Amino acid sequence: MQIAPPRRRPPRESVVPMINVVFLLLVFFLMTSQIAPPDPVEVAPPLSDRGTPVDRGTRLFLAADGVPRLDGLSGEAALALLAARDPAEGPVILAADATLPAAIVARTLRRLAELGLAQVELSVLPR
Amino acid sequence: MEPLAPIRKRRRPSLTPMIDVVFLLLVFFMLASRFGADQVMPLPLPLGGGGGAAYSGPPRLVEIAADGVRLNGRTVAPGALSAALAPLMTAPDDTIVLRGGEGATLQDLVSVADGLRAAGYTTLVVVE
Repeated sequence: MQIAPPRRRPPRESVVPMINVVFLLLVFFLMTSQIAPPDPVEVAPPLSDRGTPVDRGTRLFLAADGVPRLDGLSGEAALALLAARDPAEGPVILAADATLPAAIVARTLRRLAELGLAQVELSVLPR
Repeated sequence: MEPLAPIRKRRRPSLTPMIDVVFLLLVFFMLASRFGADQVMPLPLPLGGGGGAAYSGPPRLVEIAADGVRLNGRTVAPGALSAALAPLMTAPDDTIVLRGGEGATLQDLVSVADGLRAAGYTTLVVVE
């Protein structure tokens, strides 16, 4: 009687292709992304179908409480910091909550105009 | 003479720690990064230093309230606003003044501004 020789185990899958894919993903994320500091407050910008993309700028946050925030500062201190910034850093982006009363936004815009700004960009979400 | 040590087979370094690190970096960048540019709407400021031309022509005050839109005090249907503004404009980049009235939210304001932008009016100023 002949006994079949024990089958050899199939070779283990190589990990190299997986590493290739993971490196590819890593390089993709490194290239396409920008590390953003976390937002100081939760802001839901208004929806708009006529937004234009902007890639950089200083974001002034205006949450539902109506207090302006920038870089850990709030209120007048944030506006003072905004006035002292270098204009070469790009436009001022106002990230205001969609549920804010329009009058409060207008008041903030007037304060920004008093700081000498000619234009701000209102952050919107594509509809 | 001492016997020679047997030739050791060189072991390949383990790949597992490297894969761990690479996965960690991958997850970090996936979570910490922000994709795509922000969408914004330009908003000229009324008394900005040197920005924009001075106001000229007939009054173009669009008041946005919770119950509707008023142009120079007269109620206008939301769809008819840009048509009602047309005779008051001399050029498409003439300044239109938007004012958020009682109960109007920023979303109401932006929706009206969207309609005006769709009609080709680009200079929208928000006042108190």
